[in-house]
Amino acid sequence: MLDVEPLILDELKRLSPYEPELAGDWQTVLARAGAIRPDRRLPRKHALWVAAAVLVLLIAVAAPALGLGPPFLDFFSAKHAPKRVVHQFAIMGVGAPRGMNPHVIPGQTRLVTTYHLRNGKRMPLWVAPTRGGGFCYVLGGGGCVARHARISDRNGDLNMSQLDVARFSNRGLRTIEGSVANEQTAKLELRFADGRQVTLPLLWVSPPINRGFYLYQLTDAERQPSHRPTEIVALDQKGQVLARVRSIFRLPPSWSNPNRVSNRADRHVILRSGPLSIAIAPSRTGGNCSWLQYRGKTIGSGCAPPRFQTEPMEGGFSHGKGFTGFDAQLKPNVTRVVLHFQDGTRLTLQPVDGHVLYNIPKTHWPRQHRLVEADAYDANGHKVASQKFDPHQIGLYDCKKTIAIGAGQRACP
Amino acid sequence: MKDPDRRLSELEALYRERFPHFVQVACAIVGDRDRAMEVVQEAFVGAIRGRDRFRGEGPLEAWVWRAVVNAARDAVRRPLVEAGSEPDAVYQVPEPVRRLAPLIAALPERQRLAVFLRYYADLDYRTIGDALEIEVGTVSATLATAHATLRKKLRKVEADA
Repeated sequence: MLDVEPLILDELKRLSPYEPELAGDWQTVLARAGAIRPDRRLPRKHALWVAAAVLVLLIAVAAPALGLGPPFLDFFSAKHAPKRVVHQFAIMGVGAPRGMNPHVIPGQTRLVTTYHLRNGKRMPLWVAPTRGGGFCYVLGGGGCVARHARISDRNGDLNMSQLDVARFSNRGLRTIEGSVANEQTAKLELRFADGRQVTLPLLWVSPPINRGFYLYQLTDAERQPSHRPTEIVALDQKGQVLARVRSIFRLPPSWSNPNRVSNRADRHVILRSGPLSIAIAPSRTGGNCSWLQYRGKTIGSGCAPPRFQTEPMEGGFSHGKGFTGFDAQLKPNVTRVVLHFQDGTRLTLQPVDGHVLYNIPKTHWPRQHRLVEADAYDANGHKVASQKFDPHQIGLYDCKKTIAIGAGQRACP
Repeated sequence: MKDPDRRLSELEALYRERFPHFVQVACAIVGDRDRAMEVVQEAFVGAIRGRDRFRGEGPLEAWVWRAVVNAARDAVRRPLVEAGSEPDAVYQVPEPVRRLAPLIAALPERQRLAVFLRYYADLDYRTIGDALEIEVGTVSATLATAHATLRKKLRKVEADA
C-alpha cells in the first residue's frame, strides 16, 4: 500500500516551511489585549496630563515642556479611522515595487491627535502599524517609517534613523513634523539661524507604534532666511544629544532648477526616440542641464554639476499614457549601452553628449518581453555599470485591460 | 480556576515556544506568511482577553490551537483589504505543479485542518480533537479518510501520467 505520510510531510514542508527563527512580539499582543500598560514612567495623574497635553498641542505658541514628562497615548484606545481614511492606508503600497511595500495594517488606523493651526485649520494625524513593526501615517501628506529604518547620517546629522523629520510644504516651509524613536528623549528642540530655540511638544504613542510625534508651525518671521530653522535635536534627561538632523534644513542649491542656471535660447534637442526626446543646454554651474520631453513637453529635467554623478550610468524609466521610455545619463568613458529584454532581444545604444534614450516599443510591453537589464561598456569593452529592472513592476507599461491590484485599485500589469 | 496572571504566563510561554508552529499552520490556511503572523497575534489577543473562560478541561495548548485555527478560517472568509496581498498574487512566479499540493487543497476543510495540525504542529489526536472540537475517535477517522483519499487520488494521478 502506498505510504502517503512521508509524501504529505514533504509536500507540506514545501507549502508552508517551518521557520524556527520567527518570533512574535509579546508586548504588542499584551498591549492589544489591554492586559498591561506598556512600561512608561508616568506620574499617577495621567488623565489630567492628557487633558493638559491637548492644550499644549495648540501650536499657536511654542509650548514649553511641562517638566513632568511628555503626554502618552495608548494606541489601541485611540479612535478608529473612518472608512475613507482606512482606504487611504489600504492603497499605500498597492503596486509598489518589490521590497517597497510597507505592508500597512489599514484596519488598525487610528486618530492619534488633531493639530490646531494658527489659521484655524485642523490637521488630524492618522497612524496605522505595519506588519514589520513600523508605521504609516497621514498628516496632510503621509508616509511610512520602518521599525529599523536604515538611514545613513549625512553631514551634521546624528542617528538620523531615530529622528524622523518630514516637511509639509505649501509654498515654502510652513510646518515641520515627524517623530522620534528613542524613548530616552526627554526634550525635542528646534533651533534657528538667529540662535533661538523652541521646545517641541511630543506625544508618545504606545506599542505597536512606539514613537513620539511632533508638529511645529513656523511663523512668517521664521520662514525668512536669517531666522529659518537649522536643526532639530533630541535630548535626554541630562541634556545629552541623542539624535540631530541638520541636512534637511539646508537650503536647496540654486543649480537644481535648470531654468535658473541655463539659457533657454541655448537649449537644443540631442536625441529622439519615437515621441520622446532629450534636450540639453549648458549650465552656468558646469556641465549641461537636460530636459526629457514627450511630444515636446517637458516631463523631467535635471541640472546637477558633473561631480554629482557618482555612477557610470544612472538610468530609469519614464512612462505615461501610450509610452514607456528608458533613458540614462552616462559618464564620458561609457561608449555603448546594451539593453537586455526577457525574450532574449538585445539592443545597443550609442550615447550622445552623455545620454541615451529609447522609446520602448509595444512589442516589449507584455510580460516575458520586458526590459530587464541595461549594461554600460567603455571603449575597451569592459562592463562598467549594470542596472537590473523588475519585469513584474506594475503600472510601468500601458495596456488595454487593467487588473485589480488590491484595495479596489486597478493598474496595468 | 487558575489565577488569571498565571494563565497569562502560560500563554506567554506557549506563544514564545510555539510561535513558528502556529504561524506555519496559519500560513497553510491563509496562504500568506505575513497574514498568518497577524492571525496568530489576533488569536492570542483573543486568548488573553478570554483567559478567564478557559475551564481547564483539556490542555491549554489545544484551546489556543482552536483560537488560531478559527482566526485563520475567519481571515480567509474576510474580504481582503490590506494593501499588498493581491499584488503578491500578481507577482507570483508560477511554480511547477506539485502532485500532492492540489490534492491536499481539495480535501474537505476538516480533513485538511486535521492534516495541517498533525503534520505541521505534530499534535496528538486528543489536542487535534480539542482544537477542532471533535472527538478523538473522529480525529483518527478523519485522518484515515484523508490518507485514503490522497492515496487513491495519487494513484490515479500516477496512472494518468
